[in-house]
Amino acid sequence: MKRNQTKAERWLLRASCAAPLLAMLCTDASAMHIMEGFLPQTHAIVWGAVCAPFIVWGLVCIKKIVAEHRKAVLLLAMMGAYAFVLSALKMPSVTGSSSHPTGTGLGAVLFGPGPMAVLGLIVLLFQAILLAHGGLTTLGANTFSMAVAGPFVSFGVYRLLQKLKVNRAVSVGAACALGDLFTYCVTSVQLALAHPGESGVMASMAKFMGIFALTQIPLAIVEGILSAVVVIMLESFAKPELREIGFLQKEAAKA
Amino acid sequence: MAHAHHSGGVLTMDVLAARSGLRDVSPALKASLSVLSLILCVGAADAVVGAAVAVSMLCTIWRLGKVSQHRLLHLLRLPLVFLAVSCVVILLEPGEHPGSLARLTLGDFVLCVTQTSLARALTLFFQALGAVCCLFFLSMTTPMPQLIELLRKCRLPEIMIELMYLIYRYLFVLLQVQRQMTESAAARLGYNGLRRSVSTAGRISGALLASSFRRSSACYDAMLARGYDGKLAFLTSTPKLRARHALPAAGYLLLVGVLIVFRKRGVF
Repeated sequence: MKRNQTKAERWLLRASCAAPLLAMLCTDASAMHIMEGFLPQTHAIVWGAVCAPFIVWGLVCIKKIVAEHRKAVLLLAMMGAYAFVLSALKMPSVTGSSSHPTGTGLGAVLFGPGPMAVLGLIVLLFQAILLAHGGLTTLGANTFSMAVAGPFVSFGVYRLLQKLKVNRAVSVGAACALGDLFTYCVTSVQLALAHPGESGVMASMAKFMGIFALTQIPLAIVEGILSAVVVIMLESFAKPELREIGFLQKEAAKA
Repeated sequence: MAHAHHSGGVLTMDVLAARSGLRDVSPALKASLSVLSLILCVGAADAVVGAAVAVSMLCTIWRLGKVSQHRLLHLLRLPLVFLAVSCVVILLEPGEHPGSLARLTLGDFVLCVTQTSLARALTLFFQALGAVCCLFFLSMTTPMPQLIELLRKCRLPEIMIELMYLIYRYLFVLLQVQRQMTESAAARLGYNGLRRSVSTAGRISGALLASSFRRSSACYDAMLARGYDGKLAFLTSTPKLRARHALPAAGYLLLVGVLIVFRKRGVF
């Protein structure tokens, strides 16, 4: 009996050591997307319903922006395509495998969280269908974590830091990093609620967070740095466009 | 220009969908078959149903969709690894449990595999696998423009449809620009070491966004010159719904339904 157990123990130890390594290997393609079919039906429906008001609000925002200047539609579409392409960007990560940023934080800082919710939904749908990242039943949950919760935090942090007169690049970086981290926390909570196990939601959440933390904390920092670099470059290369979407004007008016 | 590279690169699925053997089948039928079996599969939450759906969907994609086995298995590898890892997380329960099948002690931290956690992990694995295969069926048989047209018929707001079309078109442009930038950066040792990699990646993403913003200005001017007044019209041809396609699909769903009823009644 005892020998049997140690054998199982050894096997389990090996398996559990392999788990985070494997998780690191495969996070490059599935970053924080919850996979298709991984949520029970009720959860899928509830998360979808939670997103609905944000999407409607986002649509109203976009309608208003577009009514003001038609060109904004193209800029928004470009931002969406950009967020999608970022997920294909070769990104350095600590483990040697590549991971990808979400780009929704940057979008929220540039366009505001409302339009980003709609763009995020479309991008997630495309990622599900064209890349098999995420899925249709988990679209609601993924939209909530990546296109609603993360961007809102990014936008809030950015606004707060701007009020405190922090350097723009630093505030963008911090906003995107925190948005990324918050997205990953929300994903952990969603997974824990769906699969609480026998020891309850909290223990399960710790389990999921532990696995994600290995890749997501460095990734969030990298995404923060990247977004800051992007904004610095945009300021020097695409000033007229930034003014058009009101990113620079707002600050100029305030100062 | 949109489909310039034949292997598809990142967008392999899109190329496969455009070449699929089922491209003449009504997209509405394919989408409803995929989504309904997805709902059945996730709703049933049963390992046998999940496995059956997975196998049947893969066979459909392979035989009717004419996607080579090799391609299919290659595309499936990634979700499989991810699923396996996620299920290991579900399998291991922290803390002591009476009647555990196996236990593992790491210092004073105990992980257990219990009867219920084993059952749960197995069910989840096959349920998600079935769901992924349903999604694969949709993405490997239905080209995106047809799907967007379908969503338009479902009365999605016009602005959203417009955005979807534009984003889909820009994807190809931006992916190509991004690939060129990454390749030339790599050729100049831009990914040599972590520090440099981060700065290269940042510069590429910055340049990409700047150039895409500029491109959208040029695009807008071109659209204005062609009489754009706030409505984008795209040409798409949608295959018609045919009885010889619809009947087998309905039969398939019926079979899955019967299987679910059998499983719930405990017939086998």
